[in-house]
Amino acid sequence: MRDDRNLLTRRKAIQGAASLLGGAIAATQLSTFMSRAASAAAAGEPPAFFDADQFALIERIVDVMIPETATPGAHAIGVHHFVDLMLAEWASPERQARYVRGLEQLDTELKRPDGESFVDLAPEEQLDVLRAVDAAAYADNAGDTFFVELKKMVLFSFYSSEIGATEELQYEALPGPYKHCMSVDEDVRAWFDLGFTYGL
Amino acid sequence: MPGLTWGSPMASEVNADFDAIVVGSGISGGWAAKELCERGLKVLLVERGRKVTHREDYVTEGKGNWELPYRGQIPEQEVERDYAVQKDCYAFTDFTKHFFVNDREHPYATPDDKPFAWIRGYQLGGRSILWHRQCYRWSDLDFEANANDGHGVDWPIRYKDIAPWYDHVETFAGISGSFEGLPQLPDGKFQPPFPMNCVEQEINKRLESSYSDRKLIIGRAAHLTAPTDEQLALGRGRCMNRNECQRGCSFGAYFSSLSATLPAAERTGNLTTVTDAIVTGVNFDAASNRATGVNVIDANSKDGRSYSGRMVFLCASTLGSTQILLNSTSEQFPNGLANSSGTLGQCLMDHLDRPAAAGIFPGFLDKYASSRRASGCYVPRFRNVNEKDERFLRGFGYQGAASRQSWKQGTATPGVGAEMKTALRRPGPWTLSLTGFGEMLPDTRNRVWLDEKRKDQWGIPILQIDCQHRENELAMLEAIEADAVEMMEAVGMTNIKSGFKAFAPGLGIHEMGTARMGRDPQSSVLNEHNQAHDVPNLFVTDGACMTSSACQNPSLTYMALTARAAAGAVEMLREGSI
Repeated sequence: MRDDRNLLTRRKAIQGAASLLGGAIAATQLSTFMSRAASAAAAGEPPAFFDADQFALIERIVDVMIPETATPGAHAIGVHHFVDLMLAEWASPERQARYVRGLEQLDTELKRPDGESFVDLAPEEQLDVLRAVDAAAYADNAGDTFFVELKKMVLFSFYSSEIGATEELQYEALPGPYKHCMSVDEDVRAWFDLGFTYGL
Repeated sequence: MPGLTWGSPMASEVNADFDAIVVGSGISGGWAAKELCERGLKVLLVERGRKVTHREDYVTEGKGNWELPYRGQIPEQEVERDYAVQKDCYAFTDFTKHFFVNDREHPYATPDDKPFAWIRGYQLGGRSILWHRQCYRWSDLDFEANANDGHGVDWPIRYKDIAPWYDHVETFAGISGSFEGLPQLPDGKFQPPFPMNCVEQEINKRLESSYSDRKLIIGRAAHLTAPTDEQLALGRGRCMNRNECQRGCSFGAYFSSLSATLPAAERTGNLTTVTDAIVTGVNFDAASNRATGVNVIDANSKDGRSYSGRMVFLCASTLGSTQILLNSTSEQFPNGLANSSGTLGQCLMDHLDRPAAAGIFPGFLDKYASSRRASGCYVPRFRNVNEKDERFLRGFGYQGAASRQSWKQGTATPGVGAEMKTALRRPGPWTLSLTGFGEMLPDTRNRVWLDEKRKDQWGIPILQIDCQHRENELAMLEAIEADAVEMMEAVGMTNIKSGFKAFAPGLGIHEMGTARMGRDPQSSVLNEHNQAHDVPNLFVTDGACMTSSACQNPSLTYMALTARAAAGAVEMLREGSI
């Protein structure tokens, strides 16, 4: 419930500041927010777009790509469910088809030489295999790969979540006067800042 | 209730509904309404779009990405279906899309090989809700440019004519900026500037030591950093640096019609506003040689009606105002109202908007700045200022900012697992990107006209737009890239990337021209008062009036020209000359 309190505090800050000026913030901003992906994950809901095998692969990939460390990982906050939701509701038919094809091919690329499936490997092995595919995708002659498209989606899904933006990174709802030159030490967290647009 | 104080008859006495009709409520229309109302005129403001209420209708303001269903992304099929043009605007996201037009409902045409992106916001406040708020004065380098190199016609005004009006609009709007003493970028009435961060300051230091004519300064932006009593009285407050302005700002910290000019107009008691009212044409009486009012069509019911007024101010945006004039035909003006010169529709300009280069600035890894700032920095024009450049005419400036990379760098570099996650948790290296804004020459071949066959759903002939970058622009685009790369190398940056595509005309969202000001009624539509040469009580004060495009963002100049024209028009009314 800590998250809800943060949200409430932040909204109160904005509303209080705006009301000093004699105005009220839009009522819609005060509605309670509940992430659909988080609740789907909590309830163990079936995927809306992927089939069971595809979803199992996505689930393993997000967990290996952004694991739990001292902070929550992608799996714990339901990134696999959010990716599924994006594919079901946001993506064009062309992108949906690209994901189906891409996942099929990725499943092959991620197999161990002896044919063992990625989802059945031990976690350390999964990391090694994923690292190899990742390195190949960023090689000079790799061109546009589905893997990079998927990685963009996973990173977006993780860091634009509430936990990603406000706990893994830092988020200022009301920055206030610009602090132009702060001295920071090595463990400072980066700002979450999406900018205007993000190409998925 | 205030009225005309000099004995001039009120609208009711001369059988007109209003003293003045202002078409459009964006930056120019808001200023026209304010200035005319404050001088005692009964003003009708006609807006084609829906009513937007300041604060109440900023429905995405303050939200985190996680509070939107797709975190700010718009479903791809919806984008392709409804926003095929608007989608290319940098500010078009799920947070802002309700302030952009639906392209399917608002068609226009271009040749297949010459795209023109017409970015629009049809609502009360227009694009003043969506603008990027950069405000730069023009100088005589700009007002004399056409006369000096022979492209376009001479501006009928010079800097001294507009300077007091820059003072006037800057004081009211609230422009933050630094005093630099540059002749090509005159200083103004500034509120305190946003600070430049330590890396931007260091880059400027190195630029100044490498070049005698180049520097990086903080952007001059329509944000309140030290609100005046007048601004506070209008309910405006200090900028909080969210830099999410295009969603609307309940602090009223950036200038928009909704935060500033319309409340000022309303408090006079002289303003009547109608929304969802599309002006189809300006009515003209040949006997008196006067505009008599406007015809409108209700955007929803599609019923028609008319309003009469003693003068008409067209502030419907560059292409909107020209479209209205072209569609206002009569026996005397078969090719569009006030078009005896035949130049209406000609010389459409935009700014050459090109991401020039980006790179890493090494060091300063123990320094950080706030997450967001409501203005970037600016490199004022240095080409064709002191020395003539043989490659192209006119000049360009850059906008950009230095910041430390965040999680997005993870998509551009290899890495997975805890190692990547740990690295992305920390700010990355400092980067600087520069986007060029270059001047386009006025060229009669870049033009608009009404389609003879296709009409929109309100029966208005759609606009045909034929505009492209030509020889001078292409030469300038090369210099915009090369100069940016050279400057980045000079200040010690690494990993410099360039070769980005220039945008199609229109995406600068600085469309200008098509009903230009000029000295000669045979080669221009408007005189030095933004008054139609042909029709004395008709004024056009938005971007359509621009005789050249300079390289500075134009909105501040629209504000100043509009305020100046409104004051002049009221004086003419008082003298009985219109």
